[in-house]
Amino acid sequence: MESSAALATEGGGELDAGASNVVPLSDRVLLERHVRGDKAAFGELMKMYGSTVYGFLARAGVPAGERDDLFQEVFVKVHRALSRGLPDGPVRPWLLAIAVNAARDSFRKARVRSIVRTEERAGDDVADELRNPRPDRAAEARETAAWIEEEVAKLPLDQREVLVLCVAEGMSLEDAAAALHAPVNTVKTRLRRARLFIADALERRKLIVDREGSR
Amino acid sequence: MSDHDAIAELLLEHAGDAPLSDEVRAHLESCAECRALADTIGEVDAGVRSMIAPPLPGDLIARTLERVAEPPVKAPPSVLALLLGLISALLGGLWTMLAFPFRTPRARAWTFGVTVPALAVVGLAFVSVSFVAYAPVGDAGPVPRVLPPLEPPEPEVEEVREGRDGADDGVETRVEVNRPGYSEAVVLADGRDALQPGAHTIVLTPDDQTVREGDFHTVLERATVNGTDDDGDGTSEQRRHEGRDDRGRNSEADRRGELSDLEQLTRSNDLPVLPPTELEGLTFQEPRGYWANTYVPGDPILRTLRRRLADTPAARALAERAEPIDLGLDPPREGALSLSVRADRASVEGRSRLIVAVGLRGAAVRGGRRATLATAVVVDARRPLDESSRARVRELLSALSRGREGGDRISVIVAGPHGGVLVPPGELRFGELSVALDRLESGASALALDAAVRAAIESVGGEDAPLGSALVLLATPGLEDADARAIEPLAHAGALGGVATSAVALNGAVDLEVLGRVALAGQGRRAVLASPDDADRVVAGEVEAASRTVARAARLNIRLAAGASLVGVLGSHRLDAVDASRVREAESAIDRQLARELGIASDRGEDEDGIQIVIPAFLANDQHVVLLDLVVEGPGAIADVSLRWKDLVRAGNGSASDRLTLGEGGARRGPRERAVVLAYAAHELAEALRESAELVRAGHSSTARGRLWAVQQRIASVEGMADDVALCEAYRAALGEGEGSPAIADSLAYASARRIQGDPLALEVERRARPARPSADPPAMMDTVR
Repeated sequence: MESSAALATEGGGELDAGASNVVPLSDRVLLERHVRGDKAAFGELMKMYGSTVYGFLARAGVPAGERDDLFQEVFVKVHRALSRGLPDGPVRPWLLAIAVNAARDSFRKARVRSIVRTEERAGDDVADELRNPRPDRAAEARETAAWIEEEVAKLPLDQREVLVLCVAEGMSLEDAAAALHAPVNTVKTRLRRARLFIADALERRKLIVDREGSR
Repeated sequence: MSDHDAIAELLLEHAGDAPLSDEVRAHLESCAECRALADTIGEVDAGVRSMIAPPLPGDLIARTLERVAEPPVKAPPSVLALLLGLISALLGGLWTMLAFPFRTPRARAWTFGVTVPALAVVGLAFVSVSFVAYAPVGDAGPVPRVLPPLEPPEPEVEEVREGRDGADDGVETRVEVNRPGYSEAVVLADGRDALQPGAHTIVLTPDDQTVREGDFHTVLERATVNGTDDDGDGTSEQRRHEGRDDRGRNSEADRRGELSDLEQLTRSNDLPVLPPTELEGLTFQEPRGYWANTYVPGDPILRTLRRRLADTPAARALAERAEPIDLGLDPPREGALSLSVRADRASVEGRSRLIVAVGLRGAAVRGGRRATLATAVVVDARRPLDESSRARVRELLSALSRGREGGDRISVIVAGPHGGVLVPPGELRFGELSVALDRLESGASALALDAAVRAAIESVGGEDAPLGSALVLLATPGLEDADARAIEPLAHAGALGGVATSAVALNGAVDLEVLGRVALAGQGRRAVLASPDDADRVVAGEVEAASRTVARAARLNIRLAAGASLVGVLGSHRLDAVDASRVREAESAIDRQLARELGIASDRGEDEDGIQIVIPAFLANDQHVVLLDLVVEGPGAIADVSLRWKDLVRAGNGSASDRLTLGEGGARRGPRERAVVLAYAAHELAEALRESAELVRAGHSSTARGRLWAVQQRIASVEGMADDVALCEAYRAALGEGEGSPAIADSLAYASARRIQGDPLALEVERRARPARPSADPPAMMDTVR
């Protein structure tokens, strides 16, 4: 267990401190207060990490219709886990580990998968993308975000998880490894592969845009 | 591994917000290749960070806290675990007893030491399987959500008589319901379709002892709350004949007593189950043939209702609280449509009633390829056009000419003393524009504005006109009220035939309200050309509207497995031979046209086995749910669903398929299953809203309140319908105050349509309007009135 001095500086949550001199409580202090019976503490914890968990679920590819339920499931599990005691390590990776497991369970439980195939998709990807006239009107930033989402969604789940945790959520390799229950080297490998995949797609996209521009 | 490779790996594996080491930085300064890689990774990371994380729904934390506070649901002990535990204990105990005397003291100690922990493990396993994540959903239906007690309606449930169209014509029709699950509910059925043989007893007044087709528009179904025998109309005798004597229930006190019974019942756990679970007294339909499509984007009825509600913002705001069914389907990652099939439970035991939802979702992008646009421009030259108006007409035609694609047909018709067809379809060329406009006032004969609009609609309509891409653009320097009145019915008729009419003002002094009426009737848009430069924007808007369609001729095919019986397709009906042949013809026409214009291979013309629904056009980012009421004999495969469409995003034929299979076990509901229950509840609500609208129009506001109250009771037991319960409350309050104004009837009808299928175009406008962005820019020139 970490010392309370160390705990007081541990944070990483998203609670808006609002005006200046209001210092948000650290997540572990909230957990301790919750365990001691403070009913408001769990709500505070949810406010602190709600957006992180919800954002993770969305970016990991959990469909919109299941996200709310899964979010609730995550915090119900957190609540139950806390009844057995406080986590040993930092709170954020511990909480995201529960979210990761919940998302994996959700994907596993999806028994019926829609198989969508579009016929008559002749030619390579570049030619196909060139035929697709979509990128011409949307604002560039929004378009990039939508494009990235599509590419991230194509990644295998384990690579997607690592990319979201390490890049979108800004977690260290060690914290991500703790959240995913995987060795650090495995996390590194997945991160490397995920980035190479997206980078490759980015290069191809640039090529398409250049070709379109030169027409 | 070289330094170069090691640095590349470090870059690719760099995580979190930690800064790069000095060594890496130094290498980057000297190595252009690694710098390029770092830039690429930076771009990738920036892109990933820009992925939109949806905001946390406002009430989600509160809902989660409620859920956390709930005690874990304890399921009945698992019979299997109990049995295994007993057998293990029995065998272990027997073995121990038999072997014990023959063992050495050391072995005896071992045996004892192994047996006791084993029994403890069995016991623990038994305890652990007693707790499950899901609450079992049996015939008792979903666990009712705790809601504030609802006030019973005061006067409306006392009214039991329903005269046709509110007239006192002696055709008073009451129907007593003997249907399980509806025992104490007040339910309205629309027409004879809702009457099942043997399920009802029809009680007639002596004035009219026969029920003829069309004799009653709305049938009031009641179970026990009758109490109108005081006029001696013979109904009580008939009831006595049936063994139910209701005499004496007409006094005020008795009626109050019945109300209180009703209230008690609806507050108890005996609420009718939603979705239905009853298996008796059902009639089944043949699960094959063509069924009516219920997805009608841009339904002109919706336009009309919205327009009517423009003058009563409160009634319109009430209707706009009704949000369309959302199954939570994600848009397709490729192609124009995605398909999903799911049921209201994940598993069944034995013969069960089942609601199955087939969901379709359109791509979030507009169709990349639009069908051919047939446009007729009507130039209103009844009065001589000034130079600026002529310049704007010229720019409008030029913009149309610039924006056209191969196959587009543009024609120009002039209304006025020298009217006529200025440019026949397909003959508009850049170089001919000036010449054509010089002939604006050279026509030989007079042509009235409405006649010009009629000619324009006829020229772009016809059998070859693709849905949503035939357009009449009325360019006018000014419209009078009388002009609008003459044009509106033509525009409306054109809209029904697939030709949209838009109105474009050639100056800023035009009465926009009059212009809007024409656009509204024609399902089109209105725009003001404040300067010639606006022409491109107006044309782009029209083309964009045509491009909202992402799929054409979507053919949904649902094949039920053996053992699955169809009770009905909710909100739809089986088409007769004539209507089915029309659907086939329309589908083939689209098929041929898209093959000709976009080169999409023709693949239609043959019927398929199973339930077939053909949707002519599907809009971007829209979703549609088809609900089926089934009875299944047990777990296993239930239905195979396939979807084929003409993909305007990919310019090809698209297809998707899905299968519904149920596991064995007690009924359980996860998020997917609960979404189906919500869709079913929404369907019931929409029906009630529609019927209430009819009742209000017929002057039966109190009965409409009763209908709303009844549906409110039913949906209140479904978690996630709180907003709808509040909507019913609001309508009941509105009916109480205003005694059912026409605006409330329109509002009810509009809310009903929105709840089932939404009003996609209106919803888009609302969505755009929500994030109000302060801007110093002048108001948009294009004003969508859809």
